[in-house]
Amino acid sequence: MSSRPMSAPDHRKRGTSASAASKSVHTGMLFALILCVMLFCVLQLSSPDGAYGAQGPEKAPLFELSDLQGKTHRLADYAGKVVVINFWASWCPECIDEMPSLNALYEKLRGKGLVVLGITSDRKQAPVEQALRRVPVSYPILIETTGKVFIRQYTVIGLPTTVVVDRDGAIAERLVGKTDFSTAAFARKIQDLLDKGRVR
Amino acid sequence: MKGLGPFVAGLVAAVLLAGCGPTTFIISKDGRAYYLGRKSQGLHDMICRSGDLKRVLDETSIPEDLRQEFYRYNCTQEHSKEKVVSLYLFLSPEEKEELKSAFRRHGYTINFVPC
Repeated sequence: MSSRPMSAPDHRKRGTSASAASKSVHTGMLFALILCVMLFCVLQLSSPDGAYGAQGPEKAPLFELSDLQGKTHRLADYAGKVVVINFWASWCPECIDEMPSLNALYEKLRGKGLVVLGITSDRKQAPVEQALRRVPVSYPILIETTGKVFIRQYTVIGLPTTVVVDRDGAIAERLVGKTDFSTAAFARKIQDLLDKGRVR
Repeated sequence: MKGLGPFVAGLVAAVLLAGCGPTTFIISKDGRAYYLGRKSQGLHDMICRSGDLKRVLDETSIPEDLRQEFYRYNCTQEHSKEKVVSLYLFLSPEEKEELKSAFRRHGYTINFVPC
């Protein structure tokens, strides 16, 4: 075995192999990142229950609930309109926080065919009325006592949840978490849905 | 081999992220811990086959039909993680506390992990 001082080309060679190793680490990291995103998407979207990630427009399940005044509201009665269904609870601060902006949107667009239905999971009326004294809204508040709409039909997995139903009765959007309904982007989205399918 | 480190780290991060969806709470007993509602043979054996979930639910004032649904979505062929989460969300804060207390009375440790 011969030992000889490292020549200039050897130095260059070592530099090249260090650069190749660094490139390999970067490639590995990029590959891991892509795989990570793919795995995350697959695991999140491919629910075994098929409740989410379904192909094509999902029809909004029909329901019939009473409001605080005892008036019955059927989703079917609002066919042809854009309906915003807002699931909330009196014990959920984020739900209360977003209600003024939703009410403002309703006031602005109700004349153009926007319907807003608040569905509370509270089974007792008193806490709902107490919450509404703090944050009054002009859209109907429906009481859901059995869980049929909340659990079986819409499977609400976060509060607040807002479901936007288009004029064809299909779910156009499902928003989980506190939403600012006063943004121009959201108003435009609703306006687009109101414009779509309007009889001219 | 050097490129494998970041790959493994990414994989672990992906698994952690994927496991961080909407949750109920973690229940543990005899050193085993599970998210309530997750599909797992271990969880099924612990709360369903043992009869614990039935006993726990019977000790709460949760309405009968909701108790049945809670059992159905946890312990039968209709198992659904989303429905369990939805049902848990539908319960009032008092009912959630009652449910957790009943689990504790049956030897379970409850850990709420916000995600």
